[in-house]
Amino acid sequence: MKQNRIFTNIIDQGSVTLKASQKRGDWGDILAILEKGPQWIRDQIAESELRERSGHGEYVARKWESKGSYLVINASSNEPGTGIDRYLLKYEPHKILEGCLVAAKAIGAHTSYVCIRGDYAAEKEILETALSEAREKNLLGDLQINIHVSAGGAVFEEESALLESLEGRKAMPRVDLNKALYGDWAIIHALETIATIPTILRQGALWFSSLGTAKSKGTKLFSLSGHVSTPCVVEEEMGVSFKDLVEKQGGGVKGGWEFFLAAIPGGASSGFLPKEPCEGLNMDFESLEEVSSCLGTGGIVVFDQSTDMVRIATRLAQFSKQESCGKCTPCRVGTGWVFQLLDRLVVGRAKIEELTQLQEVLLRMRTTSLCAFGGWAAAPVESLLRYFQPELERRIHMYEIASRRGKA
Amino acid sequence: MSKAFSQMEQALEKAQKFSFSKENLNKIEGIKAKYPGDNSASALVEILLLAQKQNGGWLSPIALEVVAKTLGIPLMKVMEIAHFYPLFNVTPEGTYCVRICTTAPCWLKGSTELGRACQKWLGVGWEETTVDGMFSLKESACLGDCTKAPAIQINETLRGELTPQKITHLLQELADGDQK
Repeated sequence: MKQNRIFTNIIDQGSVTLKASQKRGDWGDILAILEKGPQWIRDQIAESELRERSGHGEYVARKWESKGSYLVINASSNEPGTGIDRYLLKYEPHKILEGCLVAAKAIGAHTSYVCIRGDYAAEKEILETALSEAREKNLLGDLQINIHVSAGGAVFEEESALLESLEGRKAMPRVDLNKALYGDWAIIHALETIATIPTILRQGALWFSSLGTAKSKGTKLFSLSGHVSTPCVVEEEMGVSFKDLVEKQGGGVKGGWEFFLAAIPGGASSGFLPKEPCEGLNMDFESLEEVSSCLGTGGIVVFDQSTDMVRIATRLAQFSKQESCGKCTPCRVGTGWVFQLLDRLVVGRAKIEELTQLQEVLLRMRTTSLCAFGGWAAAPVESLLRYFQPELERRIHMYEIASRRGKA
Repeated sequence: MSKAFSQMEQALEKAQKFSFSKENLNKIEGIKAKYPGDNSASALVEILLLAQKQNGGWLSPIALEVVAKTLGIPLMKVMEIAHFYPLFNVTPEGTYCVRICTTAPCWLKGSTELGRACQKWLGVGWEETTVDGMFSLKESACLGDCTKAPAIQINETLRGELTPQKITHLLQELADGDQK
């Protein structure tokens, strides 16, 4: 199944040396592509309708309308449920470098930083080797590609926080969320987006836009984890049916589809989806927005019926609490408050009014936080309230009965 | 008891001194060169990681001072970064820092059992170090390897698809290897 696939080496998991990559087609006609000039690259990407492979999928062509002196690639995120960055760094390092080269040409950047989490020590070495190989063969021209080691965290998804950390300060979003690096403009991309670009230019924009759905073109990497028989990272066309993805690539839910309870469709910030909307769900930007979720990074986590959803939400709330940078009050205080309440809700030690209060706090977090992280932290708990409120009420009720019996 | 005491004394003595090795000093020059002009603060995270590795897994106050001097930035800024990220340890750590991912996907696949097995085998709780200074046990946020859940990281090596039996075996191997 290598037809219409971009990341063939993720399927093969073969060698990643320059020679092996060239055999797969990387670097081949790079000079011809660069010679066609930045305008041609921009036109091709605009025609292919490539969207950013994170969050709500901003159009790359729209991002490129402004020029930037710096190109920053984000491989520092640690959103739960997403193993894609690790796979890309491990198996397709040359596609990343190539992508940096053509994207920098298109936006007129002179330096590119690939920001890698400090935990990814082995992956960083692979990219470093690839980089020195490419430099030796003089493939990079006058572009400076540097590997920046960042500490990693969920807030790095916020672009201005990533730039703050790149400038050597704490990873906190800027008050005006501006995107300047060393006093010059920077353009930021997710790792997967940048690795997709060279193949689009090579195969043609029409090839890319012939794949996928009306508004989400091309293919996308999905990572499947949780209660599936064979967790994996796979590349599929946009708009692939969720059920097919779980059953064919993930080997199905343990015990069969009837044991499916809920799933996270695209990293923790996309929230939970119960069985009913998942049944006929297609994995693309617009279908997921319809069910008030988002495709995000494509990290799917599947839960079977043995899962205690309240506990899972508590885990994610604890994660948000740890990862909140603490700059603005709604997020810093909100994430802690939500975690404490959820921790009590696991056994039901709460009052029924507190659920309404929780809803209010989540809304404040989403609307008044400085950056988008407040919304990401709120999303899983919001979806818990949306789909599993009866379960929460049942727990509170049961706890009340039990405590009354205890008193009598 | 006296053995543990002398080890502690040694550790204390070690904590009083820190200077970058020659190899690391060369690396630092390379790292600084990646950033334009006087933006050497950008190199801070990478250099702190080097210092942490050289200093046996933690950043002593002396090490922080040395890093600040090498980069020519205020000590306060270095401390700020070192205390901000969970990646850095500002208290002494064991030779092997065992970090277990306890976020949702790994939790589903039994990271709680892994944690319990480690606690039982090592005889320490979360965020604690064994008396002999061999192992530290830590809870970690997502390690980014959800497809191989439950994942753990020992120093810089990542391991996935573990069970309580496998992890105790692994710890035993590490402990044996160190005695030889």
